[in-house]
Amino acid sequence: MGLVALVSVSMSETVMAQIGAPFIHDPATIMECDGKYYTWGTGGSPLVSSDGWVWSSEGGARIQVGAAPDMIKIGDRYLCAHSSTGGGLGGGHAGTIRTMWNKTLDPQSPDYEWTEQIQVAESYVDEDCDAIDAGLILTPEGRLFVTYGTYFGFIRVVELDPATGDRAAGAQDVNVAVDCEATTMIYQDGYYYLLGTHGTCCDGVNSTYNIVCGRSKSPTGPFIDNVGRDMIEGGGKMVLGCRDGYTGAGHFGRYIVEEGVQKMSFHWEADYSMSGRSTLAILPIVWRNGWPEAGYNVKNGVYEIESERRGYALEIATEYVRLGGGRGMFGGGGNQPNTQVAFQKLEDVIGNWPTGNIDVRVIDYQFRPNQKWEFVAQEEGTLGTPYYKIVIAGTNRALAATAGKELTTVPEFTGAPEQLWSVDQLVDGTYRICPKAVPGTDEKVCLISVGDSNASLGKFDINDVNCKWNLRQY
Amino acid sequence: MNKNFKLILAVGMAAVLVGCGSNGSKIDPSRVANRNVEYDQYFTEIKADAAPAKPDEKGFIRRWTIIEPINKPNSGNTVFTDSYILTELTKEYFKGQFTNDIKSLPKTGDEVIVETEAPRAGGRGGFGGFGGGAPQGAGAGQARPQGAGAGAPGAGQARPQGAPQGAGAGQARPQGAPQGAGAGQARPQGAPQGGAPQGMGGFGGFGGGMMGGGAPAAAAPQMIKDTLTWHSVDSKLFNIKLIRFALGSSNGQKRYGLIFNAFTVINCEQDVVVRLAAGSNASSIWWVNGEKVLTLQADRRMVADDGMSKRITLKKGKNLVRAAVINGPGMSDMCARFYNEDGTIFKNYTITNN
Repeated sequence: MGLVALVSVSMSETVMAQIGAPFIHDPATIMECDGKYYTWGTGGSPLVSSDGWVWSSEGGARIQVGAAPDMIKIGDRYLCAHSSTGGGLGGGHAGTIRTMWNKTLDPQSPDYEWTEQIQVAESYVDEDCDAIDAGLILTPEGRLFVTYGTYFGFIRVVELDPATGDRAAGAQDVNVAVDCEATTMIYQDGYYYLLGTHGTCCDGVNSTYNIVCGRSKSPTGPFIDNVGRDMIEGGGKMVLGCRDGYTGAGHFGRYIVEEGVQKMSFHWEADYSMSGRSTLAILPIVWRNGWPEAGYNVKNGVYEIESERRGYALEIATEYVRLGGGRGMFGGGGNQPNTQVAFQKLEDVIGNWPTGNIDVRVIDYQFRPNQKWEFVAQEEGTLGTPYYKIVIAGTNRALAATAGKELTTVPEFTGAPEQLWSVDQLVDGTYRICPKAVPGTDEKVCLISVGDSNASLGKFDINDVNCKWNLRQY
Repeated sequence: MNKNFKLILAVGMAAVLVGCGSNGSKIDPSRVANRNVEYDQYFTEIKADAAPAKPDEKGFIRRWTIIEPINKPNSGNTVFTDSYILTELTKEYFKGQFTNDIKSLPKTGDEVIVETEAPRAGGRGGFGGFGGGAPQGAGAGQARPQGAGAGAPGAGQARPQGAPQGAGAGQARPQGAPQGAGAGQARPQGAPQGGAPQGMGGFGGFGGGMMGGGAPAAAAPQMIKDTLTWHSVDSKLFNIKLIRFALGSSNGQKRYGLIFNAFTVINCEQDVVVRLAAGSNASSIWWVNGEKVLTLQADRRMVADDGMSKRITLKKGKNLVRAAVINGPGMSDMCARFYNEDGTIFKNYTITNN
């Protein structure tokens, strides 16, 4: 079976992992540079993607780092923090954290050159810390911190100088958690969240790696979990562990696409569809009750597209066909036994549908054939999610953007850019649905409610309920 | 590095750090990194007739009587299935190991001789160094606790000399240095046994086992006679850092691949219904008054309140709590406290070692 066929099989089963050859362990937080996405794993092995969905090592350059690099962009430069240890699981724990800069991540650029490495933290051979697995954060105030440590003892945080990448003057290494791996910190809505990985690493399909977090008002902790437990006591609320076909989520990194759209990069210890190998994964981040959770990419299937605005459903504007039966209102029908009312079927109504383009509208959901949309992932995408064709279930009639930033459905899906849709779960759990392209404009728009009963395309705003949709399966 | 000089250096570093928080940030001084890993940073050895202790502010039990660990040299932690730990943590290595008779409990300083597997040499070094930075002149062992049997104190731990671009070789455990010899941890010449990455399939290979899988060795283990001593201790931390107990009580000879057995006595003023909450790294079994009340299986990190028992009754007077913990390579520690039925922490008791 060829690669394309393999990819197709994988895509039909799930859209939870990246496609291509996304093999990596301990991925750095994903960086964008000149239109491409980059990450590096332990040992400095690169992965590159031009769209954020299909990844491979081609086009990247191995960087001279040890374990588990992390990356952050500060101004117009990229800062890499990485680590080395002479020990390992059963060895000593003399680790070091080092930083280095580059103006670009594109190895073909004449500006591509890493600066001399600076050691910013270390652990001794036998202390209660192993200085590896660096994670970087730039606070809203512009302060730079690095977290480090692993399963052996304390996780520590120390402040760095964002201008040099070296330790800040007088900086203290502070214990903030125990026995995590792959920590990093993010800021959200007034809290610093410390994310770390618990469980068993590196045991393939038997790995129990899982990402947990606690939060604090200070970047130096204490970080408390959802049951009030300090991460220095081992606490941590689960962000992601395992999903069907994928085990061992670890090494969290956050990428903010824009306000309201956040992605988490990590690795699966084992991707069952890829021989149990360790692969890069990217999923949406959903914030629920002040805590981050891994969201979901839309699986191939049939959905109601429900407006967050009113709760009505997107449908194609075809003649409403009434169903018979079910008139036993107000207790009518006496003592006759119940019978199943037949659902309206596609073949009951499709013969009367127009054969050309059909408009869409938004109305009460009654699980009618003109309201059921099938999402099918395609083999290209955006960061962390594929493009989908969205068709009326049982047909090839596809949702499409039109010139003038309006909507229609075309009788046959052709794969044209205006028929491809990115579907991103937002931080509040709802979805944003955007066409890959709109004829006649480069403007980025998404599916919006206009009034309760109509839909159009418009600019995305996370604070605008009209931009949000729920995808329901029953 | 001279031990006294190291102490001066550590104190000096702490003074500088505490006094100079960057950007005026408020940092709890107790959380500033302390790199001193001497035994007495973790434990205070207490006498057999020590005055009763109380649980700490959060209810954690810090007083335990622990016997020096039994060798069980697993090279990985993936073997800790339910049946494995039940077998290994209930195996009797010496008479009275599981006694429920409070009047006959061992006292600090008591010794037993057990037949155990010999430790295996060679750290796993699973990452093989990854691009260097392996310290040179890596340090020596740890000091033995005061009055804890024979043997000269080990040399202090040396600070690595931080070669920035090293070869990335792993470190090896000492090759069977005798107990009490005070020998340090030696860095091998060249790549050590086990230092090369083994089973790296986890990084793009086929189905993991990157860390070598951890399956017990097929060959019959070499058996040795080992003299083990009981130690009554008060932990200076909420958790009991078993790895530090092992290192400190063995002159650095015991680190990984061990079974720990500990007990403590809970003195209640009246009968009370509680739950025992415990965490351990890695697997453990917990007993109260002879009844197995909690099992924490699998390769796991110590998490406070990780597991909690069914309701149990602590009776008026003395109650015996036992713990057995097993770990392969990596950190080993445990913590325990009691909860009332209503979810509040139970602290109305004293703790003794007899």
